[in-house]
Parts: sequence; structure tokens; C-alpha cells
Amino acid sequence: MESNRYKWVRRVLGVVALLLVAATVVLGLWVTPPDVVQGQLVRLIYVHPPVAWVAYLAYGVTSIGSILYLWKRTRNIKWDLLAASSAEVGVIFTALTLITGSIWGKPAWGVWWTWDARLTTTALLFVLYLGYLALRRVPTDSHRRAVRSGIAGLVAFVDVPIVHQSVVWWRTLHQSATVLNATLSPKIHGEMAMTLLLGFISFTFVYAWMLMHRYQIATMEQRALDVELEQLIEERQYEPEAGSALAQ
Amino acid sequence: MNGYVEAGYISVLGVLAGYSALLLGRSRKAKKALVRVPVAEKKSEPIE
Repeated sequence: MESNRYKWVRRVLGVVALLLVAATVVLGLWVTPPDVVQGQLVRLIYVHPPVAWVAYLAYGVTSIGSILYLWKRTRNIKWDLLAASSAEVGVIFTALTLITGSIWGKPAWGVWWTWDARLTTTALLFVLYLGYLALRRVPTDSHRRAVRSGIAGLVAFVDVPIVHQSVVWWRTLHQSATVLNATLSPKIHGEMAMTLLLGFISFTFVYAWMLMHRYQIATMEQRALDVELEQLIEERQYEPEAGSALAQ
Repeated sequence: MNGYVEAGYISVLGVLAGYSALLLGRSRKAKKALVRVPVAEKKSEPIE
């Protein structure tokens, strides 16, 4: 069972995340001014890039977990469970990236969706990690599942830098990076920049809380499976053989 | 505002709240499943 300290950390993280998200919403919707060019639409900036950042982060953690499992010296099922937990949370945040992007796109570009390089590579990222999660559901033993999905997780991660660089490599409708651009000079200032920064921090806290929860569920499910398997083996061991039962 | 902004915030908060509730439910279910697994009875001798 989980330790009291882990439970305590998770609870504190949850409360802090909730407060930070509430602050982001208040600042984003009511305190910050409308933009000269985008008007009220700029308020979506305080949630859209932060959820996209969390998706990148989540897939980064999936890759690290995958590498640590695939590397024999550090092989432990906990790395595989961490990778899978992070991928699931990442898929949620990628879906949010696509949803908020689409909501922003309709009034800004006139369409809900267009096959723009940034949008297409992000959609591909979503499908790749859905595939990763589907692959994990294929019935097999824990080790084989971990190896297969570890490789799949690493292959899927190749798309993350492509998504980020898509606005530089191709001519796209999507605007270029606001903060993490080539010159590392943010194109946003004052309270707008502060709110955006708060958005990044608050959604990172939400991710950490969700990851802790999802990882705990994964370890409990794995433990239940292990116990069930042990019991089945034990029962089999004590079962009378078919031949000897007939003889009696 | 213009409707789009509200829709964006509602979808983000709604999806995150929904997924959090799902996680809490799954966590409770997994805990119950772990407790429900019966402890194997100790058998003294295997049946010959």
C-alpha cells in the first residue's frame, strides 16, 4: 500500500494545483487586458500553450521511463508503469491542445480545422500515443508488453520536436513560438506574460498530480495481477493430476 | 467576451475535472480489487 508521505504529498500537490489553476482562470479571463490585434481571443493563449507544453513534458517522461526499462541495468517494471501513466495523461493534454487550438482557429482563421503543419503533426502525435496505449492492451506478459510499448513510446516521441519546429520548418498558418523561440526572446510582456507563466506552472502541477494518481493505480493493478497469477500457480500445484484422480 | 474564449476555458476545465474524477474512481476500484483478492489458504501437503 502507498505510504502516508506519498499520500500527503499528493494531497498538497492537488490543492496547490487547484489554487494555481483558479488563479490562472481569474487572471486570464478578468484581470489581463484584451490584445490590440487579437482582442478577447488572446485569453485563450493562457491555456493553449501551457496544455501543449504539458503534453510535451508527459511524452518526455514516457520516453525516459521507456529508456530506463529497455536498458537492462535499470530494468524495473515501475519504469514501464511510469511511462504508461505519463502517456495516458499526455493524451488528455494533447486532446486539450487540439480542442483549444480549434476553438481559437475558428474566429482567427475562419475554420475549425486545416491541414496546417502544426495542426497535422499534433494530430499525428495524438494518434501515435493512442496507438501506444492500444498496444499496451494487447494481451501478453508484463515484460513483453513493456519492451513493445517502450520501443513504441520512443518512436512516437520523434514527433515531439517535429511538432515544435513545424512552425519554423514549414510555412504555416499557426503563429511562431511566443516564448520558446530561436532567440529565446518572449513576444509577450507585463501581466500577460505573468499570466502565461502562471498557466505553464499551474498545468504542470495538474500534470504532476494526475501522474501520481495514475501511477498509483497502475502499481495497484499490477500488484493485483501478480497476486492473482501467484494464486493460480499455487492452485495448479496442489491440483490432483487427471490420471491419478481417475485411478482413485 | 466572445463565446469562443468561454468555450475554450470550459472545455479545458471540464476535461481536466472529468479525468480527475475518473482517476479517483479508478483508484478506489483498484484499492477494492486489491483487498478483495483472497489470501491463498495454506495447504499442508500436496495431494498425491
